[in-house]
Amino acid sequence: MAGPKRSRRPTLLMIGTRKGAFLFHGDPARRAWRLDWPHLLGCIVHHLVLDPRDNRTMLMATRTGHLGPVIMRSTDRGRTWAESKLPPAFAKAPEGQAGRAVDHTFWLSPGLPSQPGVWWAGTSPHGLFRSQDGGVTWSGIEGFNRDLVGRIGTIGQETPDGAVTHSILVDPREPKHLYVGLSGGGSFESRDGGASWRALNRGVAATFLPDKDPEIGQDPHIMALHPLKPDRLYQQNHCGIYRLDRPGEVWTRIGMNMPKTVGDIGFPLVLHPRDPDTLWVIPMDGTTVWPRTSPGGKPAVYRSRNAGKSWERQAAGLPRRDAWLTIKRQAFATDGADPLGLYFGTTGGEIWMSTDEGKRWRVLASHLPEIYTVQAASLG
Amino acid sequence: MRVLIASPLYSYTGGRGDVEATGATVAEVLADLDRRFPGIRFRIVDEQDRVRQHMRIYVGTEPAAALDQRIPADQEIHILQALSGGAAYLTHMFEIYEGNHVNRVAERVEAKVLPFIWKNPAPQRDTH
Repeated sequence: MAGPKRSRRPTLLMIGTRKGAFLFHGDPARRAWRLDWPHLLGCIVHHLVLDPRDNRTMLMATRTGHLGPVIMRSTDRGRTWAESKLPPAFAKAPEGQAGRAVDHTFWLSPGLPSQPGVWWAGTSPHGLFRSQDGGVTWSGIEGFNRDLVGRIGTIGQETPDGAVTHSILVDPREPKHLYVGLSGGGSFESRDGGASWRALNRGVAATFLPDKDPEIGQDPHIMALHPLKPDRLYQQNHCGIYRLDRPGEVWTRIGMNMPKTVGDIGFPLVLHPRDPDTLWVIPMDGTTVWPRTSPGGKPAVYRSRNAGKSWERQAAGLPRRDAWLTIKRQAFATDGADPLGLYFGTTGGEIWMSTDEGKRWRVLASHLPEIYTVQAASLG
Repeated sequence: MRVLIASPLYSYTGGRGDVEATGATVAEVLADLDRRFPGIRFRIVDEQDRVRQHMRIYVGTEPAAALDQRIPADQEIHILQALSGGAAYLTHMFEIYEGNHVNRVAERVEAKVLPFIWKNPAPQRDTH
């Protein structure tokens, strides 16, 4: 009997850390990996994304501890880098008023294939920016930066790492239809390219607020939209795992089906690119003072193959005990190959990978700096 | 005038820490630097024209009070990064003194560095 179809394409793994970016080049079997030199060693890399429209352009959201934030661009898949000419920056405030300044760009999303050159960026403090020239110049979306941020006010501005705008999702059928996640703000939808926004938080808990069912103020950690079923959204929230099927308006807490001893708190969530019902999460300890480490010191990935009705533990190869891993929201990725490869990076500088959709895990790399982001691509 | 630049900005200046710029005020010097080395200004000053938290600009040996501060003739500009990281809770100090790379090291260690260390025990955490 023939075995499963194997990918014949090389894999690129893009790692952003607190001390620079690292690119791993994998052979088609994803067994042999080559790490090239550190890129921007010493710089904080919040996001590092390959443009799926050409598989060559890469954008990197970076800053150092001292200098202001910039976007770095590569048009040769990471060999060389050049700085964007006009990075995301808020409008200058009128004289006598305190204006906001971008601390760092946190999130990068490429636009649709029908819009070559379009990119979106989310920042800390909350901000949304758009580029139409492949990331060379950026302009602010005032309907978001002025109006929506004004509505949200100071909710979430005091989180330890600052409020972040993330999960900028573009409906593949309609480029003006956007979703975005705001830590300490909630999930929002725009149907006019960002000019106006409406809250999309019904059903999502906010146990950290005095009003337990507010219109805004929830804390999505990450959201995802399935490309084959764009009316399906998932989110890993500060208060659980949720699914929303549009045009529905009320999120369903699918994390209630997770084992009670593990819970449904975490940062990252990834989808199977070919199956809208399959997703993975990495639970963390969100009890008491929120250690944000593997529950009980036993790291595991959890998969659902029925849109969250039930979950299965995938921990083969991961440490069985005494492992207190933390995985940030951007540090879990799939490579698009068949069978699907999964990768996650820890704040302790380890990369774990699976080439069989999570059944078995192995360490790809250790001793990297604190990992902020992991992205993977199967290259054509 | 002469502008002395901190090493994190060398990627803009082609590796040079000692460059030339013109301008009657700090803001004009920064604008001229940005013309010569595109992008450098935004790394030092944010979009609200505030010097970034961990950057320092000195006119001669004095901290610049504002971007519109006039620069006296024959003054040097220093663009420096503050000592932060593990010492974020300490008062930052900056001083220019006469000497070369070796001739006053022992004296400076004895007079400045050791008393500073004695006064400030090990930092509790590293913020960078």
